Amino acid sequence: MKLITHNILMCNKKGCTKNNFPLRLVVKQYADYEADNAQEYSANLMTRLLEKLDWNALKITVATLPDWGIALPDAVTPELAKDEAFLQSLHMLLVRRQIIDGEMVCPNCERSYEIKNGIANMLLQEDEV
Amino acid sequence: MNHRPEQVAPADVFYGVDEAKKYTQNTRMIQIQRTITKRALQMLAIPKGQHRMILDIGCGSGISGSVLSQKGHMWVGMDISHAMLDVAAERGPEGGVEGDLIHSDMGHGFGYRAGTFDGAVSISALQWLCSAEKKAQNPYKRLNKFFSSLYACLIKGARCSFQFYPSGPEQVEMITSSAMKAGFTGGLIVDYPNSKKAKKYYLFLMAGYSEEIMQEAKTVIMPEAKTGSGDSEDESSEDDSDDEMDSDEEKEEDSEESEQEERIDVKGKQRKDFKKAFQKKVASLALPTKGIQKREKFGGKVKDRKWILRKKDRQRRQGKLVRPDTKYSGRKRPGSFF
Repeated sequence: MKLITHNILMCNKKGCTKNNFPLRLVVKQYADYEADNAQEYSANLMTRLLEKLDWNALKITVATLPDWGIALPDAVTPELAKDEAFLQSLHMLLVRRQIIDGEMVCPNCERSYEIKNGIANMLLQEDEV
Repeated sequence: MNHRPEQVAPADVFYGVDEAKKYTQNTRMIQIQRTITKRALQMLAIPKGQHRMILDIGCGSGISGSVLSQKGHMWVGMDISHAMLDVAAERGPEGGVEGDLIHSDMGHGFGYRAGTFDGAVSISALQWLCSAEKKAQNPYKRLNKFFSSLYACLIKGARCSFQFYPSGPEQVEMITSSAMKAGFTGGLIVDYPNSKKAKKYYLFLMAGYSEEIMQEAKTVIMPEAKTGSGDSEDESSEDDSDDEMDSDEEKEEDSEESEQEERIDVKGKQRKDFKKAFQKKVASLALPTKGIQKREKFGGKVKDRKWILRKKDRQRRQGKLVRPDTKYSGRKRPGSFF
């Protein structure tokens, strides 16, 4: 699973509507894909993704992963959004880095969603719908 | 003998390890899925060179996703079958599956942030929503949940194209009405309606209206259905085809129309015959024809003095204000010159 997907996922459990984003990310194993293997970099796509990104949530999440050693700017300025190098680094972080093993925990209801083999299990039980 | 998989077993059971294998080895199956995905993507009307974030509902082994990746789009796919997702994960980015995979049930709705997706596609998945597998599942509730949460996670004006296999007109009605209830506009597109084999149903939906997206997709406001047999369709022609309207469907409509006209003709003829017969009879009886002529002229309703007096009397009895009867009541009027 990629960070971009984590950035759009909320807890979907019944009754859990407030404070259910971002999910607390616990990473046990991750991998970086080669540039030619992952979704191709295009400035166009990255700007699009940047528009959708909840920057605050991304910053909070990355801050909980100190071993990744990534420092993000406080906010995305319009100049930064056009900066090629910045977009490249974002592509690396959001698209090429895969979380293979881990879990996501809802900050509100503490429901845990497992990530195994790169697949996030968001399947709810019938009583949680 | 039951041929519809959704009536055999739930999706997560039906698409087990064996079935999932088919989706990696059967080249014909893969070919069909790819073609359908391309057509669905065409309906989203994303301009060339633009890359978007797309939701793939029922992504399975990622065949549809690899088409999306090829076109440069980022995608998130969801499926209920873990076996299928495992196949997709195994193929991985090397095998063209570059999007993200999420194991979840579309009938449960999805928890994506509002406005995250620029569009959605779904290949052969929607019909699964219509059948309940467990006692607790209500197809109507599941459909409503699905469409309302889909609407929530799309941007305004986003387009969706869902190819599916409805079991009958009731199912189509069930799905479309649920989509309209959630706020979508759009409708059903049937490709190759005259071919039993190539016939494909697409549910084309728009989430609200956005000027920008409308401008982008000016040329494809409402995608037209493809006609013809669809047998000779190959990938290369699929790519750049701006589908031309075959006249088959129009012809069919024409013939129906003329048939209807014929029916009307028959009726008219019958009436004429009847009129003639009536006139003949009147002539043979040698009755005074003046009143009858008049009656004919006014379609059988002649309001003479007798009728008027009767009516006035009736209204008087009802307590209405009526002018008194005089020698002028219902008097003859001068006829027209012609």
